[in-house]
Amino acid sequence: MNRSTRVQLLRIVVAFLFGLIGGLTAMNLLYGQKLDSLYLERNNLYYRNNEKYKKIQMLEKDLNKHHDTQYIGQDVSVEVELPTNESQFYQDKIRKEIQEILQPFVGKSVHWVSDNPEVLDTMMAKRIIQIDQDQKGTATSKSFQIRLKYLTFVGTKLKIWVVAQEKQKETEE
Amino acid sequence: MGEFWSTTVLNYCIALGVVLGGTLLGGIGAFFGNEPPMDTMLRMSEHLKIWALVAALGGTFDTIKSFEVHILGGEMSQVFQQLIFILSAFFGAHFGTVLIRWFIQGDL
Repeated sequence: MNRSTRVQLLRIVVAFLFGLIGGLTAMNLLYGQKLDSLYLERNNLYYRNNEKYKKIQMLEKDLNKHHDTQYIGQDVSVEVELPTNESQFYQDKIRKEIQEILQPFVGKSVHWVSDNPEVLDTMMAKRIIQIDQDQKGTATSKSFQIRLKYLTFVGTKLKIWVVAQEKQKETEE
Repeated sequence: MGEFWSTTVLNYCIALGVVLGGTLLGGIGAFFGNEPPMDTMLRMSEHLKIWALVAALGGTFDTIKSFEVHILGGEMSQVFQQLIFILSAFFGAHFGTVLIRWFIQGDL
């Protein structure tokens, strides 16, 4: 290949490169605006997606907080406060009755009960517990009206304090 | 055309070419680099302005040195000429930036 041919070839290559650059520039100028708007839209979508992702994470965390629930165990502890002049033998019987009343709460979510303690209070409100006379004669037949005093959770263990007041029987003439 | 005017026009065109060429090729680079080309070109045209000025004048040091020589030599017309060169380069670079801005944003 002689020198003039080589120069000719080089010129063609350079002209091709110039053409390439010119074409690229022309395409860039023609479609640049569209590309820009697409990039803008993409960034906007990234941002919105990120926002949604953060929101989902927050909601998941919130949901997990409510879902990592512990459930109320069988061993519901009941403390009964009786009037001082009342026989303390009624305590056990009242305790058993109250534990029966609280059975629907066993296995329920601790969070649910602690968030809505009024449900428990409503169940207890103005409830009359009838205590029959036992065979030993240690307790005579009486009725007690109970009222919820305190309610607490020790882990999954529900512990409640109840005030029991004797309800006077209506005498029939 | 005298040497003064030819140098003035040359400076103007060099500065304009640096801004336009740099910006247009930078736009191609931005396209291949996954960046918005028009936005990159707009920013680049602003950044290239000062470099276009420097390139047209052939380096700031030479110009400053010629200032020093001519001022100390008492040749104030030469100093004035240098100022015209700088101004022509500046207007060339500025015109390039304005053209790019007009092309991309649609207003001056």
